[in-house]
Amino acid sequence: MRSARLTKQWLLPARASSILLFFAVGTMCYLAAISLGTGLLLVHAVDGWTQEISSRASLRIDVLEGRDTQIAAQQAARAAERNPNVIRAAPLSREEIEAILEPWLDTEELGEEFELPAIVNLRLRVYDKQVLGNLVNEIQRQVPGVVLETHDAWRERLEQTRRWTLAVAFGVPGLIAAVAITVMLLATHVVFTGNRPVIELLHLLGARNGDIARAGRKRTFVPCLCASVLATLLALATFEAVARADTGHPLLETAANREIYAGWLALVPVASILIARISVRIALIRSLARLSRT
Amino acid sequence: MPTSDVLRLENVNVRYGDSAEVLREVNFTVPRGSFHFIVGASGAGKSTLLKLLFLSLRPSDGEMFLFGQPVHNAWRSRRVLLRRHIGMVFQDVRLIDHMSVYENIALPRAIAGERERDYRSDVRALINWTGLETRIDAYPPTLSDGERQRVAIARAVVARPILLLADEPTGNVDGKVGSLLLQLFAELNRLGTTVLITTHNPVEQDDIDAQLVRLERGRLILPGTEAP
Ligand SMILES: Nc1ncnc2c1ncn2[C@@H]1O[C@H](COP(=O)(O)OP(=O)(O)OP(=O)(O)O)[C@@H](O)[C@H]1O
Ligand SMILES: [Mg+2]
Repeated sequence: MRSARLTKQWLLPARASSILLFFAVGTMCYLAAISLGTGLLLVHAVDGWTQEISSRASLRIDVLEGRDTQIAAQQAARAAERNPNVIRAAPLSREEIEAILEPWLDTEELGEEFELPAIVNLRLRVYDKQVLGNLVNEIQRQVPGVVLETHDAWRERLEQTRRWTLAVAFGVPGLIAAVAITVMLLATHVVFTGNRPVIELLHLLGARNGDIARAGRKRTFVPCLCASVLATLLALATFEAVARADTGHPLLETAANREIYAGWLALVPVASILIARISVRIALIRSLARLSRT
Repeated sequence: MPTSDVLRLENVNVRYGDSAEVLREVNFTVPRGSFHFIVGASGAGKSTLLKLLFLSLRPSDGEMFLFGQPVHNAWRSRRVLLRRHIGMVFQDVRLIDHMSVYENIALPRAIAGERERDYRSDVRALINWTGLETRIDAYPPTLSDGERQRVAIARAVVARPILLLADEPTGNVDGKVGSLLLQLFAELNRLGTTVLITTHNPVEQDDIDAQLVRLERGRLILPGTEAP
């Protein structure tokens, strides 16, 4: 239709700049969506690992003169299972303990009579330092010389990884948005300066700054909308393809859990349209005000 | 102030920056429906006078009334809106090269926020009236001077202005085309539009009932008076 073309063509041949805008916005949205999605999947994996190691702890029963370490381990396990925070307490067999100690000890050289410390694996309901402290005290009252071993160091490292991953997942789209706004301001300024005679003519033919700005906004809205929606769908398809690729990699396979990232990715077009609208508005009003001052 | 006057200037001076006055002590009343030729040598200030009347230039001194309202102190946005009731044919034509003949002519209506279905038939009628039917989708760089001038005239009148200003519309075309263009202005005038045309060589136009106003070094000399 002619009128649609007409309002779009006030400033420049519309098609070239629309295609340019389409690809620029599309690329930025795709990168933002991939960064966001990957980051969220990583965070999900880290959360899984954290939960896994948080539900595990172990009791070490050291060798003491005058007691059978294995029996002490049985007692410790029974005492632990009486605690409501412990789901299961399983003493390890001598073979399992040897397997664990193998890297440090030459277990084959050890004779049957060589006493090893016993280990009781615990499955916990919640990971809470205070609850765990109470648990150890309780067991120690019945079985002295019991040491609780948790994965605190790993938990801390995973917590740090989680924070950084989240920062990158949202930081990269944020940075892309900042670049997009800057580019939009610059491009609008360049286009308007280059079209100064046309702008002057539009003013002479009765166009107010608001009229010109509205035409400019209309012209950027449709390409931005199409590009951001398409880019997001493409990003979703990328994750879908990764999930189906049968890589055998546990991290890549988490891509199958769409609920982790799909909701956030749906925000990408919404955010990009909002950003485009606001920055175009600011850019147009600023450029026009500068042009009409002279 | 009688509203039958489209325009009135009272003791208007115009200077560009710190320069000497380009228009001096201009007193001029333009009644509704009148037809004026403004004649003067190059540099006399004809384009300056039209820019003033088109509100793209403010008077340095004096008062100016358009459609009965004072405009010498009007804000920019009000002048832009008032301009929608004035048609202007610029001396340098000023078409937009990347828009077709149709789009150039329709531009003032699109700017005013009208939808195409509301102005399409008007634009087509103007294209027929100016004899540009075969050039409707052409772009200005491919047009002849006379054709460009006709597009500019069509654009100036597409929004049915009360006042039509034309800055040397016959300057770049030969005599035959020139009198053809003048016929267009005469016809618009008969339909009620107030017309003001500048020219440095007035052609005899028996069928136009026009006032001849002379501009000499910035002073306006009305018929029946003589330069001091
Ligand atoms: N923007 C401007 N800045 C400074 N001086 C100007 C400007 N425009 C015009 N002038 C000067 O004002 C005087 C009148 O110019 P104007 O363009 O009104 O003349 P004109 O009668 O239209 O001439 P022509 O027949 O050549 O078009 C000239 O001396 C010109 O140099
Ligand atoms: Mg001139």
